[in-house]
Amino acid sequence: MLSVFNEAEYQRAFSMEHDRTNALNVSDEPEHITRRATVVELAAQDRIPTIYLFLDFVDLGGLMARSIDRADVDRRFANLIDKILRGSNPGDIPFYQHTNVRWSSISKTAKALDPRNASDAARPRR
Amino acid sequence: MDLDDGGVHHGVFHVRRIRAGLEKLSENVGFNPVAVPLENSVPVAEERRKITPRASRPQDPEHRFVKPAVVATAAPGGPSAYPSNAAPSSPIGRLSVRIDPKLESQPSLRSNPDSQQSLGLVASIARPGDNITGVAIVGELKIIERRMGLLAEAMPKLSTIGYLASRPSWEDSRGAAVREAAKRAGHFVVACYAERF
Repeated sequence: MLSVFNEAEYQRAFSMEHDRTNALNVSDEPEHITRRATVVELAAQDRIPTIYLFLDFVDLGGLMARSIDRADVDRRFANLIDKILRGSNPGDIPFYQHTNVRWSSISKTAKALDPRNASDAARPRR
Repeated sequence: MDLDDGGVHHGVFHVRRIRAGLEKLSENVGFNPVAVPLENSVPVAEERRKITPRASRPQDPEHRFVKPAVVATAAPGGPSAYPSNAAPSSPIGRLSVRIDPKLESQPSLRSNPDSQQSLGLVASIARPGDNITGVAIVGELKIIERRMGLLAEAMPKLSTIGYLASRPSWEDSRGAAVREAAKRAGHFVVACYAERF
């Protein structure tokens, strides 16, 4: 299946979810990171508490993320490349299962959203 | 050979990040080498390393290179489904993966659902076969479930959660993990598709 994540689709998705949900969980698909600014901005406009897949979203003002350690993943990639260049057969090298998870939240956004009191009624209608 | 044709040329060493995003997707995939340097167009993660009292060096020694790889146990063998399960080659550069129901029905795959294996990329993550190896950073269902738990923890009045995803993600084991986690917590979850087809 061919699919494309673009800004217009994010806007459409947020406009559709606005009346249906009171929190958002961004999926584990790395494609989201290419539009992270758009996603964070739309979530802020909607005042919808959102949890993201990478800390990069939190760096832009997103509420919270439970993320893998991407720097560690890149180090593992370098390690794998080193093994292959030294003669190992890629098919014989096990996949590294990344288990190092980082948790983060941003206090200003949390304070603005006040997720403990967030509900459908608390969110302004567009 | 094209970067997206799903095959592996034995004379060429390819390094690619499956499903990892680049800012300008269409400019990064093609028949010819990239003409324009990408230093200014590829997103680079900010450095977050800090020297803590516990680890008096920029990197936590717990995660140094010599640490042995942690791999889930899985029976080797089985057909490699990578070429047939990857999305058709596309100039847009997005690789969307659907789980093959036949692969999911195999006992060796059910025992390890949250892996690249269950997504149909390789026959076994312990011994991927062909010329493929890598780091499994997607399909970690426990993280997905934990995210749902954290949302519920932060919002006691939570009732309905949106899952911003592609249709394949909503329909495969990742979406199932979200729905199951929401059901356990007594919440509703709805799909918010962030893609066009």
